[in-house]
Order: sequence, then structure tokens, then C-alpha cells
Amino acid sequence: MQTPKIINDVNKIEPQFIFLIFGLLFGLMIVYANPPFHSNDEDRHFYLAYEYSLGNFDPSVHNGIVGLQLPINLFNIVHSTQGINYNAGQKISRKNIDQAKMIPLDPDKKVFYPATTIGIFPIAYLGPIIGMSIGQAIDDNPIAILSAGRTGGLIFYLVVVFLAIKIIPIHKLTMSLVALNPMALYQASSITYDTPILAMTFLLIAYILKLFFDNQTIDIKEISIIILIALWINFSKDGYLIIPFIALLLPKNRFKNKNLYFVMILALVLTYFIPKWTWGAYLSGLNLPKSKPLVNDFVYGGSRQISFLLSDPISSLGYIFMNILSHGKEWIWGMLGRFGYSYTVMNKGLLTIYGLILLTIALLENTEKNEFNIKQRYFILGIGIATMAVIVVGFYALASPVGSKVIFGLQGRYFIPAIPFILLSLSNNVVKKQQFIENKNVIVSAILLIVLSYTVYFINSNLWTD
Amino acid sequence: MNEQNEIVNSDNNLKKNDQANRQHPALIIYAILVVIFLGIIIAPKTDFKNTWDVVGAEFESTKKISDPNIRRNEYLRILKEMIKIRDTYPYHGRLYLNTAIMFNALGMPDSAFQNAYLAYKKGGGGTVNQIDPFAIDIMLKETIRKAQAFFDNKDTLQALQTFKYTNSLISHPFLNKTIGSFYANFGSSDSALQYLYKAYQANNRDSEIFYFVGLTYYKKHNLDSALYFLNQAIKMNPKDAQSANLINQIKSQGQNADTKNN
Repeated sequence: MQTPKIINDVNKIEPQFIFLIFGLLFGLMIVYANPPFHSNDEDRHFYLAYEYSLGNFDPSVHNGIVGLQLPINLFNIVHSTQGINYNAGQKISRKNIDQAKMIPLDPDKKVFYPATTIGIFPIAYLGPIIGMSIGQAIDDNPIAILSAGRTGGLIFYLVVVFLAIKIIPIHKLTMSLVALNPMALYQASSITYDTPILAMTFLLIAYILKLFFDNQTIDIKEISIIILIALWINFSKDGYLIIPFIALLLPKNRFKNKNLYFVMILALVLTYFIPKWTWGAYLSGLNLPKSKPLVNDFVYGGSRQISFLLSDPISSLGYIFMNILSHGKEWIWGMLGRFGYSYTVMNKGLLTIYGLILLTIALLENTEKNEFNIKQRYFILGIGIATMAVIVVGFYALASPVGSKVIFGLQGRYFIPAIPFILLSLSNNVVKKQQFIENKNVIVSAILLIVLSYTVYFINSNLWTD
Repeated sequence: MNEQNEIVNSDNNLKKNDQANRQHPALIIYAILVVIFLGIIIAPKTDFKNTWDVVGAEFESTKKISDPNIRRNEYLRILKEMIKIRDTYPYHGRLYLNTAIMFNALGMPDSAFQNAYLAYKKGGGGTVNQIDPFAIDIMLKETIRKAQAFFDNKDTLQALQTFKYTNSLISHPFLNKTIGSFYANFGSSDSALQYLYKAYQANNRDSEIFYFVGLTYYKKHNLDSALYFLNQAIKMNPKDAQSANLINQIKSQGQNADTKNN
């Protein structure tokens, strides 16, 4: 039987273009389907990115409190979209949003907003900043500015991940599936500092694997690129300090000289501290008043909690295990598809299938001549597990009440940058399913079409009301 | 024969390869990941909670019990556990607050006051803490209860000291006004003005504060200032009878003085 032409055509498309087509099409749909300011903490990220888009890098101080001077209309519109209790069946009113779209920005009438996110470096919002700067020139309504910012963030994500998939020698379709998992695309289509972390993680992995499999000699230029990407990750958000060390996969003998290898390790360590020594020092130099915690009825994290955890390490490990057992499910949904400020989980059956598909495609996507030895494979897996472990322990030690058995504040989406490492550990050239190899583009495209169509439908029908 | 050996060897090699492939680490990792992934998803719901959450939930449901005797007995039972948890984790304002609420409900004013104050201190200290208003509420209730008892025993000085003590801890507009009104009626004008000014800073639309300021000036024989503040009080609250009475009193005193002079 002859294969239909369309299947042949799809199989000829390079994976990075499959990623781009689906990412652009469904990403843009999510930009408009996702209710305004409804991604995780999008209101706060929007305020800061908006200020940066105007070139305002210094926060304001009002009555001893640090914050931002925002246009009143902008603040009021954002505020009116918050606090919708989706768990209780509430939804956002399309009519209200349509009315809000008619309100002009009126940038000269300002209100002070006590901000808690002022420490974030502008590079974390590069895409949204560019999008907002262009968008404001066309339409300065706050919701239009948000859409422009979201689109800017999406384009930044698509460009970086497109480049990553183009250069990565293996697992191109697996990476596309990770990058387009409903939660990842939802994040990429909103204003958040999670987008550059994920995009840059893909780029770093791709570049390291390119150097690794191309047998290229590693010189200053290659190290500079690695360090630049690592810096971008560390400047965007704390907590992903392990990821840049994937560069240690590169064998020492591939460096132009041995010293360069150690220079790279030192530089990788320094990338973690540079944000504190530069942007952090700049903010300290402004002598801003210390920001106050939002809620203080419990004492959260810090040295007391670390002492508590270390006082009985076995019990602490047991508590972590119990947390995985009790909350692991919620973390998985958060990794794959949780919307409406994280309150609304997409179809759990579909998310489970998507998780299994990710694992299976990673196993089936034959790497041909490119194969890791056992040490390298476990090293990559170790980076993924260590990234997850740092997040879990970090939240337990720094964000949970002292003496708490339960880990506070941890959301599944924080684990997304660790997924590519876990899946890379499944790469192999021994599993050869001919039917999959011949039709892999079609299979992956079909999966993306079904899952992302449902995602857009779900957001559109579950979060809105007339 | 050679050909046959070759086939057998080749078959053996294939089998070996196949076996090696089946033991490939990717397959082992895959199997483990699938088991973990599905295991987490199908794991039954656990009742893994912090002890303070468990006792806190019991406390919240006890608050809703309508029968006062049953509620009291439940409070006594929960209070023991809550104190144990509070002493194990002596850093959490919420645990002190819950303890204070129960002491308050059980009619133990000193313990209620002390725990409420510690809840306030260990929390945000009146800045951003969600529990502060509740802690302050208990402190005020217990202060009023204690001061009332002193008043009932005709010990006004101790009643004043009770208000002043609490005010030294939390500096509250209600306390400033109460202490100011006390001084305005019975004591030093300077102290009265000092406390009333603090109360005014928290609420500049309270006609009673203006009345007491007017009263203070009246007692200082500064009648022009007294009239000014009393008139302000009337402006804010036209039904303010005590200010109106004092104005009339001042005016009649003025007329009497004029008559005498004439």
C-alpha cells in the first residue's frame, strides 16, 4: 500500500520546523485564550516588565515601602482580573474584559504598588519587554500591552528553542514534545521569568550535545557561549544552579588545553554569583528599605528550618518521600498542564498519557551513531535529578515553616527545566521500531495537534464565561 | 560444515546482541521512570499533614459548636495539645494566637493576653501580619475586661494602669483615646493632649476626640481653644450632645463673667 503524499511530506519536514509551526500556531492561540494576567504571578511579572519596557529600572519608595509607580488604569484593570476562585466554579467575565479593552492607559495618573518582585533582572523579561515596547506604540490599552508582551515572550521562546532543536544532534522530536508540553507552552505564552530558563536550558543542552557528538575541539569561543547561556539562566531566576554543569559532560581531552577545562568549571561556578555581585549589588546600592514578608503568622525557612532538617536527617528524608507520595501527583499535573493561576488542572487522563508519550518517544527516537556511555548517561540523569532535588530541598529549607513536615510553595512547573535531562538519559540506538522511525514526524505532529487543540479548547471553555 | 558453524555463530551473536540490547541502561531507566510516574499518579491519598494543621482543624471545627459546655470541654482537650505543639515550635505566631483564642473563650484573661501578645510579637508586629488584628482584638478585649473589674472595685487608677500597660505594648488608637479621655476628665491636661493627639493621628474624623480635646482646654481655662475644638466636634457629628452641652456651659460662664464685670 502506498503511503499518502501528506504523510511523506510531513516526514520530510525538519523537526525544528514542526516545533515552530505548532509553537507559533497554538502559542498565539494561548496568548489570547488565556485570560489576562492569569498565568502564575503574571500580574507581578507584568508590572515589572512594563516598567522595564519604559526604561524604568529603579524601583520607587513610598512610606518606607519598595514598589512601582504604575498608571492607575493599568493597576485597576490588572487588579480586577485577580482572585477569581476557579475551584468554587467562578470564571472570568468576557464582557468585563471587553469593557476593560476600551479603557485607555492614561499613563500620567499614577498609583503606588508595593512590589515584591523588584529583584528580577531585566534580561528575564527580554521577549516581553520588546513585545510591550512595540505593542504600546500601536495600542496602549493595558490588555493590549499584555498581549504584546505575551507575544514577545512567545517569540523569544520559539526562536531560542528553534535554534536549540536545529543544533541538537539527537532527540529533536523529544525536545519538541517537551518544549510544547501544554504547561511549557502556556508559560511561554505568558509573562514570566520561567520562559527564559526553559528556553536557555534547551539551548545549553543542545549546544553541549553538539560539541560532544561533533568531536569538536573546545576553545575560548565555545566556552564563552556556554558561560553566556549559563549566565542568562542564573540571571533569570535562582534555583537552577545545577543545570549549567551539564557542560562537564564534555571530556577533558577535547579542550584545546587542560587549563581551559578548569577555567570553564571556575566560570560556571562564578555564573551563580555574578547576578548577586552585579544586579544585586546595584539594587543594594540604591539603599532600598527591606521588603516585608507578605504573611508572617509562621516563621518560614532559614537557619532554624535548616537546623530542624539536619537535626534528624533520616526523618527529613522520610518527610521528603512522604511529600512526593502526597503531593507528587499535583507536581506532575503542574509540570504538564495546570492553568488559571494554577488552580485548574487539565484532563488528568490526557496528561498521564502525555507523560507516558514523552518517556516512550524519548526511548524510541533512535540516536543512530550517537550514543552515551553508561557514565555519561547517569551523569545527565544525575543533573536532572539533582535539579529537581535542589528545588525540593530549597523549598523545604527556605520556604516552609520551621518544623513543618509538609513542603510549602512548591509547584510542578518548577521541574520543567529538569525534564529534558531525564529524557536524554533514555537516548539509545538499540530500540529500533521501524514503523516509528519511518513515521515519527507524523506521529509527533498528530500528538501535538490533539493535545494542543484540547489545551486551547480547555482554557477557552473552562476559564471564561459570558 | 564451516557454513553451518558460521550460521550458528551468527545466530549466537544475534542472540547475544539481543540480550545486551534488552539490558541496555536506557530500557532499565525507562522501566523505572514509568513505574515511578504511574506509581505517583495512582498512589492513594495520604493523610500527611503537620500536627499544627490537624489540631488547628479541630480547633476551627470546635469554634462552630453551639453548645457552650461541649465547646468548653473540647477547647480544654485541644488546648493541651496546642500548648504542647506551641512549645515544640515556639516561633510561630499562629500557634500562640490559637492558644490565646482558646484561653479567651475559657475565661482565662492573663493567659489569653500573654499568648495574644506573643502572637503579635512573633508575627509581623502590626505591619503585614494576617493574625495581628486577631491578636490585638484579644488583647483589647482582655484589657477592657480587666479594667472593667478595677472600675467595678472603684480602683480607677489601676484601670488606667491596665490601659496604659497594653498601650505601651501595642500603641492602639482606642487605648490612646481611652487614656486621653481619662486624663481629660480626671488628670493632667498635658498627658490628655499627648494621648489624644496620638488618637487623632489614627483617626482625624472622630468627633469624640475633639470633644475631649475641647474638654481638656476647658479645664485649662483656655476657653477660645475649647470652643474651637468643640465646634469642630459638632461639625463632624451634629448630634454630639456632650459637646453641645459643654459649649452652652462655656457660653453661660462667659455671660456670667460679663455680667459680673458690668
